[in-house]
Amino acid sequence: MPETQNKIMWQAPWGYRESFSISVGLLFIGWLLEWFSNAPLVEIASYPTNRYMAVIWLTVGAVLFFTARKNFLVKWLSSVPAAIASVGLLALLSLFLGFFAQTPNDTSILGRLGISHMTDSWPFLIAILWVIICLEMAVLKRIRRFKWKDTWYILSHLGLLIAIIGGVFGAPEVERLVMNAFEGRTIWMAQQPDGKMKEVPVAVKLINFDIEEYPPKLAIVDNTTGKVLESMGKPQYQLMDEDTLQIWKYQIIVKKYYSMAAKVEKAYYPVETIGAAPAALITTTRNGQTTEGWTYSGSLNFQPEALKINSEHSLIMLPPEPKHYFSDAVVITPDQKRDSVRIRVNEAVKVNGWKIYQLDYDTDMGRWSNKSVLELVHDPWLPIVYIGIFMMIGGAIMLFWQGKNNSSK
Amino acid sequence: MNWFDFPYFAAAATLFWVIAMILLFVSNKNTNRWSHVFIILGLATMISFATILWVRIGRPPMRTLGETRLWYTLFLGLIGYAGYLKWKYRWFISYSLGMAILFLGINALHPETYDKVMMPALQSPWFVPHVIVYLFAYALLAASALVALKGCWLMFRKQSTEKLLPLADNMVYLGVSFLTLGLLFGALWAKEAWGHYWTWDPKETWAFLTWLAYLGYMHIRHFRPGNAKTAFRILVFAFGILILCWFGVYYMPSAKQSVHTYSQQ
Ligand code: HEM
Repeated sequence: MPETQNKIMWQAPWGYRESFSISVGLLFIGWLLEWFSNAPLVEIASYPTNRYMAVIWLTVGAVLFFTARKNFLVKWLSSVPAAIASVGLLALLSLFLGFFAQTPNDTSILGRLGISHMTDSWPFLIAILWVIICLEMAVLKRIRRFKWKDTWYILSHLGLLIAIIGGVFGAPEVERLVMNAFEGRTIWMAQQPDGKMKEVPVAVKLINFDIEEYPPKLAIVDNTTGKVLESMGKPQYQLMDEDTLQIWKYQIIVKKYYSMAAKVEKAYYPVETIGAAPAALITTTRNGQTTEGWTYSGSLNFQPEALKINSEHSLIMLPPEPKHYFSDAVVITPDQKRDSVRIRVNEAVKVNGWKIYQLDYDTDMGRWSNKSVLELVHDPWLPIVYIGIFMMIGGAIMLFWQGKNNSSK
Repeated sequence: MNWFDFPYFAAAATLFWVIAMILLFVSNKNTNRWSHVFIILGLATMISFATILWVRIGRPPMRTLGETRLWYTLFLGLIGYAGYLKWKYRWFISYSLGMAILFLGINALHPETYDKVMMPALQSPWFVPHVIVYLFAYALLAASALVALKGCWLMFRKQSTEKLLPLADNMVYLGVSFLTLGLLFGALWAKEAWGHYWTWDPKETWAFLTWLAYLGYMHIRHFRPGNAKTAFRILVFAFGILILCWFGVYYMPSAKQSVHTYSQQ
């Protein structure tokens, strides 16, 4: 504390006051640039400028460090106050980002200051560049006088630096395209975020889209209110995964169950037509009174049917929920290599440098959807980001093991 | 049903762990040999059950809600014990075992969840580690906030806080290591499930801010270790941000765009 009180501002060495003043200055420079520059940053920082920027910025840091390590400016850049102020600026911008909804083409004051398109605004870029240079200095400083005890420090800080570099400078090269694949057709065009179509070096021929479903749920509803009966404040749904169930005070026996059925006259029969849905023949018993009948979950083509138990209550069956959905497809690369793949949620498929994700389907059609929405992602910088992430994971585990007392001097 | 024996295993593990905790607190020493024995017995019980289940169903048990809780129990126990061996915080092992028992209890009371498969996006190998490290991070950071509050109170009463600050610092270090893991596992999972590791989704942004607040604390402390009052205050403030992040996100204007607001059922 004494140094900041006795020292005149801007006199070396710089502390928190100078650092935060610079943060504020940079913020205003960012806002000015955002307000007056005509070209959107997205275009300026696109490939290959992003690569030049990465190389230049990191080289500037390294040259500064190795030629002028003793200079007070370099010392300051590798100090905690600069780190706090730079990260503080990033935190402030993230706070805006976390608070205000993000809309690309906003012309209000928020839009003109870049607050409603934060991640590609000037202030954000400047803050990140500042964090990067501080982090680079902090890493170089410790690497130069490396001790094994500092391994966790290098892993955390260098890992973060590498991950940020991969994420920030790589961002303009990330492509995320949406492809609408239809059964039986081969498609090699996908939609960019701006709506334009683009040819991709991976063609997809969708063979079959399908959904695995859970057994349907049963519930008892009150005939007058139409509401599902509750117990302890929670609506009582029961997954129909066994032949005898207890819902509310009713004993329920499933006598017949067809996962795909349709009504013919008075009963349900297994069918394979579009819109076939689960049906069950059910007996309910309560206080010795037994009712038997069909209940049907219904679908886009057919009406659901409830089983009226008595004047008070009815039994309903809910449409089954998807357990998995997946697309079986053939992927074809420009060299005519073909591959049969199954793409499911959480299990993307890698082809020719692209990852293909299962995104969506025609939800009105459900399992009969013959359209599958896929997302194609290409991120050439991903390996860099992963190296950084795994270094940080290592650093975090070591930090847990060393704790405070062993990691600091 | 493959989970047929579960209640016996759960009861045995619970019993072992409760005994272990009682032993820990009645004995004055921080390490009671018998408590170690009972902690390990409980762990062995759960590992056996998980192994048997795995063999019986012929696939890693990671797909249903009930199976997920089984892993919570197991890893809460294992990491809690490892942390206890290293750091000797009695509350830490008690919290871990307490949470583990809680998950056992939920499973025992809701057998229907053994087969309840989760929504597709949640069926990922990253789900369980992501949740577990956050459970530890929040516990440690909450503990650090309590220590900080006690510190503020003692300072107000003009009493010594000499021992408290190193304790708070260490808890933050441990807590931040878990918080960092949580953030990173989240990123890896997001890449697998949604195509990108970081999308500045409101929930992610607020988790990031929480993380920055604690990083701020660590760095400020490192730079000027002497000032206890400021340290305690920052720590309470950082926990405030954590709470805000946890509960407040859904009320922000930005939350309409979040992918993390699943409501199951
Ligand atoms: C993964 C995230 C981070 C973690 C876990 C972390 C943790 C730490 C810790 C615990 C220390 C104290 C070192 C010691 O006790 O020996 C430290 C020092 C430091 N950190 Fe970080 N930090 C992180 C990110 C950053 C960032 C983003 C910056 C800069 C923008 C930064 C700059 C510094 C600086 C300048 C020091 C002081 C180095 C020295 O005095 O030699 N850190 N960090």
